[in-house]
Amino acid sequence: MSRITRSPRLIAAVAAVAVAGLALATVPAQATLRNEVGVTSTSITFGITVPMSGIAAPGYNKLAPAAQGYLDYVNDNGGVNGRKVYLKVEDDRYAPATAVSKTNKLVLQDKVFGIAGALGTANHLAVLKSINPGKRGVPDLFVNTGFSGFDDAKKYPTTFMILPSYVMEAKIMGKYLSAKFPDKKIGLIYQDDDFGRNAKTGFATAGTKFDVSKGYASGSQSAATFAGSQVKAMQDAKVDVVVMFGVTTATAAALGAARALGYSAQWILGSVGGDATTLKALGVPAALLTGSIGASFVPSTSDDKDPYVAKFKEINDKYNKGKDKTFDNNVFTGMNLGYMLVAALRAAGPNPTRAGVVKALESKGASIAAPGLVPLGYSATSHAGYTGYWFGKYDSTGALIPDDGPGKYAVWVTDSGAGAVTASTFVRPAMPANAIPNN
Amino acid sequence: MSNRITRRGAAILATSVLAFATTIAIPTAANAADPTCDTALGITACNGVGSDGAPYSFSAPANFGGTLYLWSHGYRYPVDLPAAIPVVGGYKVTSTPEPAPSTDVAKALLSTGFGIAGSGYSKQGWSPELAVKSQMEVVAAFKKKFPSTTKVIAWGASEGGYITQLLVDQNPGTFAAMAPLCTVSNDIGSSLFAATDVLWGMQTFFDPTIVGHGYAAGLAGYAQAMGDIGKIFTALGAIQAGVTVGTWPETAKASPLASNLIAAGIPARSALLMVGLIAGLPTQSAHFDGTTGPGDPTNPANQDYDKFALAISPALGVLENIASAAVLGVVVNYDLEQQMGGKILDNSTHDFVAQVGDAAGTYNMALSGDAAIAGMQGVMKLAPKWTADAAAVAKLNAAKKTSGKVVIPTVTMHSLNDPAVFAGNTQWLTDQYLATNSAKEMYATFITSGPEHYSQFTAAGLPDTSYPAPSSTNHCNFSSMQMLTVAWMANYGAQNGVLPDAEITQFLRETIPGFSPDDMLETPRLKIYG
Repeated sequence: MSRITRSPRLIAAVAAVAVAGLALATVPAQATLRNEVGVTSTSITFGITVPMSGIAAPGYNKLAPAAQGYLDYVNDNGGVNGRKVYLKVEDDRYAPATAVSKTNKLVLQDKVFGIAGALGTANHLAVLKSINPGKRGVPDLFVNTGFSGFDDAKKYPTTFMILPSYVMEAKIMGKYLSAKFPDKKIGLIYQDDDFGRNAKTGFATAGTKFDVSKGYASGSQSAATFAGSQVKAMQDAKVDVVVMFGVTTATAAALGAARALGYSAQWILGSVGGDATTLKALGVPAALLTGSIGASFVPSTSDDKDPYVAKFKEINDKYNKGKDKTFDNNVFTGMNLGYMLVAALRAAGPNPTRAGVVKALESKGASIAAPGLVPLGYSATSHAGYTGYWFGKYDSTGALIPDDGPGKYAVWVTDSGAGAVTASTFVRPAMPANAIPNN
Repeated sequence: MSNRITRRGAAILATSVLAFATTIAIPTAANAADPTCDTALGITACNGVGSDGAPYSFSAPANFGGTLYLWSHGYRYPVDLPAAIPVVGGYKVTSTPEPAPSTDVAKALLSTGFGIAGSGYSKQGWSPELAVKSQMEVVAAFKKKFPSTTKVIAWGASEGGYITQLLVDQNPGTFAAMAPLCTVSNDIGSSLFAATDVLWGMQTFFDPTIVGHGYAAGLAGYAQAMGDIGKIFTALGAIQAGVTVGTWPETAKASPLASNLIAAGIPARSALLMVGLIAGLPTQSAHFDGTTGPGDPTNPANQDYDKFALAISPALGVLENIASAAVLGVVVNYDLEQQMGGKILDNSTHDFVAQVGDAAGTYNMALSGDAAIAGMQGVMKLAPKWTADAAAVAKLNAAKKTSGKVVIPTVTMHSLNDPAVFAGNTQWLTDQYLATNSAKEMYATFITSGPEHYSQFTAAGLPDTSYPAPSSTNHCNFSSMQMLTVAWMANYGAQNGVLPDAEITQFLRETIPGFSPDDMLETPRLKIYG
């Protein structure tokens, strides 16, 4: 202040603002000495950007309400070390530039503790480049995309994946294809960007050769486009098995185009585009989906004997405040996100800090009892999330039934590099009491 | 844009260009005479002419407190511009002195006891060293008139920011603080790097008859340059008119390389976006935020909203940015080629894949996917590159550069999405300061950005540019409040030797409308630095 009063004249308007600032600026400064950003004595707040509206909203708009529903359940049962956990939701419409501005708002204005469950490869690449949570020490937990580039502890020190990478999925799918369809003509439809490129890397590592391979530009999918090019190309080449590695809207368009063309093939749907509820909501009749092959790393949502499925359904019924809370993969994924956030906070101790959460996930993250049927890959050098998949077929209700029968999951695991695809020996730890992490 | 050049307009422009060619004659004087002064309403206002004929003006109030703000104005075209050119058409070369960035800011400073001063320079165009000489004469004249002057603050915008830095570099002890705004930093080479790729890209993809560089001497070269502006606007007009369907300008069909892209069904807007991305142009412009589509986004029936927002909006932003930067780019290049005696633009070593970088993922849909990106990159690889004349480049490089040293309290301000002088210029200055690990509060920067959504569309769903650009968008488009905040910070630094505490600076970032509150924001670095 003394230095300010030495200046001869202050510009009136700015001076008023600045002087007021002197008084106000000290308040948050003192507060941050006592508490970590986004943490109070009674609450911890995360932020999430997801498409709550727009073309990618169907299905994805169920993630955040499901996650908050799970957190509300935990909050009603004592919270995390006495603090309630909240999720501030921002709609990014699946647009990278919007994801950047919304994440900026969450981090800078809302001052959340960390980012949670950010969705979309292009979106999050833009966020990492523009906002760089790692440089700021902001936890960027459980990114909801399988782009393997996010598993880079050196480049993105606070970013942790949750989905198995697309490379892993493609490697495992390649192994599945060679085992199940050794003599068939195989085709691939992929999204022509980082998502699809990641998948092609995995297939190449697995040695999978496609007889026909067709890309589509993200967002260009429409029934007309698919009928006219990608799907027609599969039909013309008499492809027996079509691997569809695209988003749900593209998958729906492809299945619709195949029906319109009278083209019958064995479809294998990548996990991103294979949510039956969303496909049905997009107009895909159950009959069209029935018999298609899908992949997942969590229990089938129709598997009521699985303790996580059973408990999550119960929590969903009572706590999910979303417009559509039909229990499906998206709801399960949202609940899984909420569960993992709680586990991470618990691992960080009674007074969590941003740095503490990152350290805890690196040191203890792989041993958390989690809903997935495959192991988690967290360590000081790996920020990979789940690391495997199982395969099944969609039945007439849209449920994904494991190849070996309900509840019998043949899980395969691998990494995003040149590691082999192996049958998993992982035994999922028993579900903690009330499905609340006990680590 | 709304008043874009038509083909007919371009033809008129090309044929009548000689009629516009004039040079301004500024009377020269061996010695600067004392200025003429008048006092009214408590303000003494003086006008004079420097030793090289540069007109100047300064003012001070009756309660002058001893501190002068010396304003360095930015780049002015050194040639008249034909009336047919959108937005800036009809410009006549002028050396009118500019003692403050705006009338409002001048009034605010004078009313609070500060003096203001500025020269109109003896020569327009890129002539920073002449401007430095003129500005130092203005300081001397001001001090002679107002001997109670104790502090001088140098500030300026765009090229004026560059001049500000040169003033401080070359005259140690004269200035107590500086504020280079939306500034060119280091040297003009960084801006020419981007201009090269824009002009070359327009030639390669959309009109092979664009000359772009190597203009003839004198009026013939002027005619070529003005003709290029017309061709660029014609191409942009065609792309804009067919932006939703991806229409290519007719002129593109004369390019065998571009014809391959047309045959492959790649929309012209994707190629335009590619040009913008290799150059480092932002996808937000004066009227387009790069993310908004037409109509109500919450209306489920508005199915095309997101497709437009993701596939078209980024290209619209780049289109408007190229339109607004094209005149500057062409004229600056023409100006410098005339001064240096040869070609100065060179992209023979540019790495277009690296220059696009992560943006290929962020704007994948607007670029029409990986296959289209590979196709456009292929065209750029095959297309002949531009090579500069070594002697001309050597002459350009011999000009003084700014040091990047922060030796007095320094305040910078830049729009994140400045389409003409990229924010990376200020980032360069920031990086230079941070590299010194100075413990004192000697440097502060404010980054401005427009609202999240500001694109507007007509009732027919067409892009609308008929409304004023929001402040904090475009080039040096700052509000008076933002300018006065910088002025206040600089004055604080001038009086105290250091800037206000970081907490106050941060408070201002969070309080003044249009400032980014992010004290860790790093703007994209200039492509020239890799």
